[in-house]
Amino acid sequence: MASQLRITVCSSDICQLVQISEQDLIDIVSLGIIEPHDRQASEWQFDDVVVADIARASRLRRDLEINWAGVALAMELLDEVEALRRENRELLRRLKRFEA
Amino acid sequence: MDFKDYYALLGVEPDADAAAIKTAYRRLARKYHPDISKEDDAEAKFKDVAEAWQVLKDPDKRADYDQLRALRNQQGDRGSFQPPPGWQPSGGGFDPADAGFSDFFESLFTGARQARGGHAPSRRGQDVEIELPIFLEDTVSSESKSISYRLPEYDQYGQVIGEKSKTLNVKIPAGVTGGERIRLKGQGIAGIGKAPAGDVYLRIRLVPHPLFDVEGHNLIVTVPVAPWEVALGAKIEVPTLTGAVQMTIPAHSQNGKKLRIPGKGLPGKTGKGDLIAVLKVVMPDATGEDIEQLWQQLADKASFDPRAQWRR
Repeated sequence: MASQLRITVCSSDICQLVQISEQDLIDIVSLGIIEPHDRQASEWQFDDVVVADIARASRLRRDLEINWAGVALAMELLDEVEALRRENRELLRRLKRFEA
Repeated sequence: MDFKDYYALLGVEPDADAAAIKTAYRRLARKYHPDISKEDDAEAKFKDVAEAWQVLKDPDKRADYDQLRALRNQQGDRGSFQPPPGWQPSGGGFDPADAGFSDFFESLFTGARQARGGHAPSRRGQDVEIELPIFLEDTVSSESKSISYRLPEYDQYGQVIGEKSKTLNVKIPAGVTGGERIRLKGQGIAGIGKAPAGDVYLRIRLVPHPLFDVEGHNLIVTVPVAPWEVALGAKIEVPTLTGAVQMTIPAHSQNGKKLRIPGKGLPGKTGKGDLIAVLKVVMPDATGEDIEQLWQQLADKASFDPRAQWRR
């Protein structure tokens, strides 16, 4: 059986890895760009893949010169477009199997 | 090296004001940003645009660039570009935002600093995202997959000096889905100085299967059946990812009917998904006269109006 191990990172690790301030991290979490395991916990813990999401959010903010709220909207819409494209591809493939 | 026309890259006139340059940059950044665009050459295009912006937004850098550009136009030189001997950029201090641009940019704005003997400051290596196509069969096997990729190598100044290839064996976690990412810590581009290496993100792409479609953790298989199999019912063999299984088609099944075979889907975080067999009634290709007669008998006897609903 493949490993089910999930690696967790804490707030200070994240701030160091992607070089953002703690306030930025609080903004990012408040806007729902990333989700800690438990928002109420005294120190936030995250799945390690969120590091890539924050890096992406930081790039968008820096390169497009938009604020975190704009980044949150852009990422939400980009993710939705990607999910819809994938779903559309899959449905088209299934539809094709039914054509004579 | 080639002389870069930063004004052309941003699509603005050489006398454009700061506001026009800013607007042009923002429009192109939105179009070519590698986190937004799906075009293959988006990253290269964005790099050009970002480099042009890095120079033209800074009055010092822009003045330096304009000076060289005027010199070049004067000489009418269209060949390879070299900065004039003794060239020094007027801006001071190392700006980490200047890293990672073209040789042309380096020769204008950072090369001179290196010649004075400065080391690039420590910088964590960049992350790398790699698409990992995996077959549906891989998600149910416990074997690891070997992936190879190439990474740039840097010298102490942060200059690219070559490439090296890297191979890793990765165990695909059970229950991966398309679009999911797996982080491999410290396997990305090496850091500069004593800084740590970046990470590798594997983005899972499920390769389309000739038989099975994926919906969440369920697999869908389209099963061709004869008209009499759906009419009378039948016991047939259905393929799964791990070998064929027996399935019963109930009598009077409609075209498109879904039959669930539990536990034969993809492994998920909370148990295995199911295999869903979708019936697709197919007609035999050529039928002889005797078969036609049998269909005719059926048509006469059944008195079935499939479009009764239209006439209500």
